[in-house]
Amino acid sequence: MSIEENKEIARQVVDAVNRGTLDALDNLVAADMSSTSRFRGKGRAWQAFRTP
Amino acid sequence: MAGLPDAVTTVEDWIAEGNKVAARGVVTGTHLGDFAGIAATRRRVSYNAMRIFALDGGKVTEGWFVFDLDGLMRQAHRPCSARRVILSLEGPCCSSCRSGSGSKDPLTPCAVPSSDLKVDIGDLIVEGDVVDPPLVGTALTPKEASATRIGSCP
Repeated sequence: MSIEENKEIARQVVDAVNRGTLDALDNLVAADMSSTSRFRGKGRAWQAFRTP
Repeated sequence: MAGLPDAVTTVEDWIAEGNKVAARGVVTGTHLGDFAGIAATRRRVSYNAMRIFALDGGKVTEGWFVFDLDGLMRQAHRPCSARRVILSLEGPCCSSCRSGSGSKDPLTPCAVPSSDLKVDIGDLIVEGDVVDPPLVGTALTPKEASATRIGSCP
């Protein structure tokens, strides 16, 4: 994937979170994705997209 | 999203290199739920945030979320300095306004005695502040009125 394609996917992720259509993330996020946030520490996929 | 269920992220910068994409922006929402031990304040809050995504094969495989927790906590904890907003005025002035014969300014031109004015101050969110406590049926002196943002007569 090109850098621009990666950016487009990231945009779609943010848009889906803003709309609250988390189901749309299924096609954008790897099943074994991990995430890290200062607030929650390290966790699994959805936590990366949840705001406080 | 329990604390800010209506949170929306506005991305101001997209930066990409290799297989990573960074998004820097602002998250804005209403503090409607418990957050970090702080009960809901109903305040509008916003904080700076950054997300970094790592992608592989068209999917996000890893993510980092960094945000201004301190700034968010300060907003949730700050003393309430809300200006009171009058939702409605009950009195001869406002009656005139409603009938179209009075001024839209419900106080000064009408010179209604303050004791005749009953204000209905709601529990509103105004520019991030909560009107607290609600004061319903409270008489408002002209001095108080001048320091208070007064809503238009309906």
